[in-house]
Amino acid sequence: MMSCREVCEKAQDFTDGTLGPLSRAKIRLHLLMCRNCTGFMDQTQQTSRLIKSTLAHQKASSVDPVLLAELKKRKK
Amino acid sequence: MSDTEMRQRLVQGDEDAFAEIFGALNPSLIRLATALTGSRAVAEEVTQETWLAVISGIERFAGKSSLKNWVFAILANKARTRARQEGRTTVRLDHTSKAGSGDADTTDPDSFDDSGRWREPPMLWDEITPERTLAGRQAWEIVTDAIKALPTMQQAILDLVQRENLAAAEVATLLGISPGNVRIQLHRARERIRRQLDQAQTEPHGGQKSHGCKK
Ligand SMILES: [Zn+2]
Repeated sequence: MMSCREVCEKAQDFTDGTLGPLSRAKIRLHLLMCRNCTGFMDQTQQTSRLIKSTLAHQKASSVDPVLLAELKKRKK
Repeated sequence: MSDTEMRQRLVQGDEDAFAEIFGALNPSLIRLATALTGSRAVAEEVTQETWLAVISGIERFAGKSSLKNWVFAILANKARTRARQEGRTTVRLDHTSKAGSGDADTTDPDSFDDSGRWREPPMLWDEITPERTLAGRQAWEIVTDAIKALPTMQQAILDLVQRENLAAAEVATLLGISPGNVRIQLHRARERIRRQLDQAQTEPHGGQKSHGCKK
């Protein structure tokens, strides 16, 4: 039986889907029986989602005129 | 737009196509360059040089990698060259691991008892949307500030993995560190952000400490 500490340590890899099938199965089994780890896993997954959406909405600065000038050189 | 189409349109000097790729990649390029050169100002120059090289040399993109990886590789080369010229050592393992082991990773009391069970249960979070307000700020603002407070190496890794969807091995090559170290830094970065979100939720009730496992 995997301990809560181990589940906590593997929570990010579980969220990323980078664990092997055996570890995944052990964690799923633990989560079925442990409300605390289920809560922690939910925190980990929500954090990952929030980071993704925050980074996805980052705006780039406007394109520098130097780059636009370089681009113009290509137009014949 | 496919890489082939983007290449073709950039060959013709298409401004809309350029605005698209610039908008998609520029924030991540600046973060990567900052991590590699250790200076935001130098990073902006290197990023500019990279775009000039992309525009003038787009014919050289042969489609062996994705266009995105090609651009990142150009930037990483330029950033490393520049860092050498300025006498800066680029990314060092000991440097990054030190930068990663801040308060959030090491000073928290152990959250588990001897048998590996939680001493105190983690808080149950309600669904947090990016717009939801926690402790007077929207969740996305808390995350944005938390990212800015990370060591530059962790910012770059977080960005390349969670925004650009690069694999740990690709990120490792760009940064010149091992894939294992990429994962460790990624874990630390996300754990810090999780704790700040956790604390933002407990704040109205007296700001208790967030529980997690040491990394
Ligand atoms: Zn548990």
